[in-house]
Amino acid sequence: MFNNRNTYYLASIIFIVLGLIYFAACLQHPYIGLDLEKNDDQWFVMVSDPHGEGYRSGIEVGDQILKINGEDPGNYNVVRKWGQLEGASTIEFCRPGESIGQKATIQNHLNFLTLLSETPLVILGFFFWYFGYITWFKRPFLEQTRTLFWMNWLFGLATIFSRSSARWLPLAKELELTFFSLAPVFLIVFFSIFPVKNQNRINGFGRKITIVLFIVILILTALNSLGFVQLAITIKKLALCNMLIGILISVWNLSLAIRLPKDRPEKNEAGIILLGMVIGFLPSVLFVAIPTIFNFQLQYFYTQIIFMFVATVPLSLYYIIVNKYLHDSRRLCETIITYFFAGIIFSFVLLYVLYLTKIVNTITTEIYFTSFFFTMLFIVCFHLIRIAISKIWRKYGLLQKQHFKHRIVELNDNLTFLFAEDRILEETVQKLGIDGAFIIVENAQTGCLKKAVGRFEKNCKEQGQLEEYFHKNQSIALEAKILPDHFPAEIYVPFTSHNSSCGIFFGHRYSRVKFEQGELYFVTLLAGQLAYQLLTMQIMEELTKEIDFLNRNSWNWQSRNLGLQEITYAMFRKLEQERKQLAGEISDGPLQVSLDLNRWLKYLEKEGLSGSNTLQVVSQMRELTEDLKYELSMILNELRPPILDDLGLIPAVELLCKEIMFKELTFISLEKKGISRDQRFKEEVELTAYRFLQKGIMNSIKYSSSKKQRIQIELSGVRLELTVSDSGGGFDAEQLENWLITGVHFGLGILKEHIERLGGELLISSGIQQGTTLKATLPVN
Amino acid sequence: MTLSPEESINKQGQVKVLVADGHWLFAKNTVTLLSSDPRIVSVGIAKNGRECLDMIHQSRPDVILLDIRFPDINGIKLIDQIKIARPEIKIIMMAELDQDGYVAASVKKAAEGLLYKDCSIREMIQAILKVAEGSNYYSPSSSIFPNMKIDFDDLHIPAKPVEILKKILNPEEKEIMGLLIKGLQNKEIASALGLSVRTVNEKVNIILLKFGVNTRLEAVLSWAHIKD
Repeated sequence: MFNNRNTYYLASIIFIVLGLIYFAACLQHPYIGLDLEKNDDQWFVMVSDPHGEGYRSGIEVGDQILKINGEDPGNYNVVRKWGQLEGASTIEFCRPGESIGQKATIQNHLNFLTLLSETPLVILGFFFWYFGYITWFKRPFLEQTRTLFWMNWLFGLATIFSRSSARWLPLAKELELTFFSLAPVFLIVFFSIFPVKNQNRINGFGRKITIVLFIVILILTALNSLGFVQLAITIKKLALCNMLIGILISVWNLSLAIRLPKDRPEKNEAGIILLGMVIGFLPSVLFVAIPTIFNFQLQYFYTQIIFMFVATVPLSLYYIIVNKYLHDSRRLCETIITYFFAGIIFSFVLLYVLYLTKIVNTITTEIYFTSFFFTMLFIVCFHLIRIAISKIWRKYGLLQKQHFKHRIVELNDNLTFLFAEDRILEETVQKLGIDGAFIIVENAQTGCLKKAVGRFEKNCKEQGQLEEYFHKNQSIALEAKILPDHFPAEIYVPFTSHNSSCGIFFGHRYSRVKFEQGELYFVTLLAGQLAYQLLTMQIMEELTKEIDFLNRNSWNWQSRNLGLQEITYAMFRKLEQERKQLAGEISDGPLQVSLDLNRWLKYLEKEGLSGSNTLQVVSQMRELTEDLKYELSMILNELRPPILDDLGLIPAVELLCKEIMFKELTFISLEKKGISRDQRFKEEVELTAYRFLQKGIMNSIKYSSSKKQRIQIELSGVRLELTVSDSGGGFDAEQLENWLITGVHFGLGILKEHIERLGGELLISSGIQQGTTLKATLPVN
Repeated sequence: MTLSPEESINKQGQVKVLVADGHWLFAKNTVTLLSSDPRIVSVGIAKNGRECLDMIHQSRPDVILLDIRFPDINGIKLIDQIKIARPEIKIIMMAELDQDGYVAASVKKAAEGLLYKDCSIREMIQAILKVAEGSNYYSPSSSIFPNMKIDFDDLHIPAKPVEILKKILNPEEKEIMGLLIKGLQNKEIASALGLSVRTVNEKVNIILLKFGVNTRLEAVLSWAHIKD
């Protein structure tokens, strides 16, 4: 049944109809407001409500009621059953000690004042229903909201009927008692499932007790209405007790929820409800329920005003169920308590001032409470008006300055878009309007990072002071602190995360306006964001560096690979080229000579040695043979000089130099250091060294205009150092890498690879008009 | 190939020669050529360093004609080993090309002689006999390079008085000099004059000798003086 939406609509309609009918009826009937008690068959006034018509007609507490509507009060139903005097039109009464009775005629004054005094409780009733309904309407699938709806429905009805019952409208008293005593049952049920499910023994026990009490009250009410018993006061007390039990168990449930760990949202929810409950129920319990239960009458007490506080209960419940994100209950509590105490103090002062100015002649509890009430009312109204005005101003842009929170929010948004560390800080400083900021980040791995802007930027002394403070006041919690006035900075936010500890200092405002405690919250948020950004950036920077490094490495490898490919290809071409050249040399030289030689031999064979020109032919043949030997030895020398293998590097190089000087127009100077003529090295080393010098000299002759080459061969320890230098035109060293691979120095490129493979190195230094120096170092062990 | 010991004993007073050469044909022909002289007897041919070391014990040669290069060892290194094993054996190095450095190397290694492989058999026999007698024989180098140290920083150009230089060269050499001074290579000169490269080579060498210089550049610079 409770899951059917229509049930809720129907219940709401019933509520509205009943509410309106009874409210209308209330306005039609006068409120007399007298409670009677029977004493020796005589009826005396126990309570005379100052708002009632009875009081206005002059009936006071202690007066004896003689006749109601011309009849004995005992015969009057309401009086007999409930001890209340309502619905009468004439009342005869006499004051104690007087024998002459007076007659009062009750009239219904339907005026603005009546309306004003009746409306609040009706509104409160509708308030209950409305918030129950709207909560259910917004979250219809929650068990809690359904329970809340019924609880509020009952509270609302009970509130509405409390006024109607006072006028003795039909069934009003009975219905009021029914609803009023059923409400605590729902109260317990509701708080056993909200904010956390808590099905323990006390809840079960409390639920049973309230149900039992509810049934007892129901029975007693019925019996009382039918006139079998006269227990009006007992029933009233029972109903109040029942409500008290309900409230106490609810509060107990909430205080359990409040002890939950910090990170549970239920903790805050419970805090807010508890606050609402305390504000709502405490005045009613203190000033209505307890005095009634213990027969202690507080005269002239404005119960309607006290009941208005109850409105905070449905309001707080609505607030926490409907909203996902809530205010901090501790902060709310703090604010309310602050206002409360301020109210108490101010009301005392007010009262004293009134007394001194003789506006008030005596000081009574009642007058004090009146003063207190108006003070609180003033504070609340002031607060509300202030908020309203500031909202209006903000809406129409009347406040020129951006609101602090707004600025922080904007800054927080911007932070994520700022990429330079310094700009983040600068932006922060600028937006907050402060004279500087200083941040320290200490990390075990990346070391200490310090950033300062504004006044701290070049002020080492202040930086040192703040740094010292930072080291003394490190903390895990992100909680801002306002520093003493003598510090160069105003706010300090410590912060620890990812094995980094940070400290952020904010300077003073340019406006010299101090930061408020309330603003620290936002500053903390900002600081957290700031630290996070800076840390992230630091990590990013390091990553970028690493990526850069890897990138460069990979590029190097790539170009090297590319170079090797080029070299391989070029080597193949070179090899084929050399083969072609060799074939050409052999076929032009030795082959031709041997062909000629063969021809001459054949001639000799035919002519015989007896011929006249034999000697000439033989001499011719010897010439040819000499040519053949020469040609072959030249080719051999070019391919692989035998002297290198036979005698070693130095004789081979000496011969090389002489040959070159014989054939080319150049001087070569050869300097040797630490090496003897018959010193031998590994074949590979000798060959590489020889080829290097050969190539170096030939390149210099071909490409530099230099007519002099200087060769140095030095053996130092286990390294053989070979240098070929000239004083020629030189070339742009930056172009060298390319030339080594593709250009005229290709042979050197191959040699470079070869030398490096042997563990040596080849250095080329050259510059335009600075000559060229080739230096090769080879390990010889 | 070893000759019988009786044979070597029978011909007492003859010089026993071991031909150590990896080139079989050359070695065989050497033996053949040597056999024309009765004062010399070949005791065998060693094709590599190992055989050579074996045979100096077996055949007991007086003289070894030692090639400079073997498949298994460098001839120069072999000299040391032979001298250690049989110090009394005389060694004549056989160089293939008359290049600078070989004479110096054999002198340094204490080889008794040096011959070029294309020397006449007469020269070879003369050398063997001379060495066997206990003196040395180093083949006069036909080398185009005089074996002297060049001091590059101390050059005097022209090396000889201009008047002498003018008269030194014959017309052919003057023609070659004219081409040299233009920077032509030997090959180019050879084809220009219809000579073989070797001939041009020799003629240039003669010019250098006549000028008393060591390098082509010095010759060219000297000739430039004459022209002036």
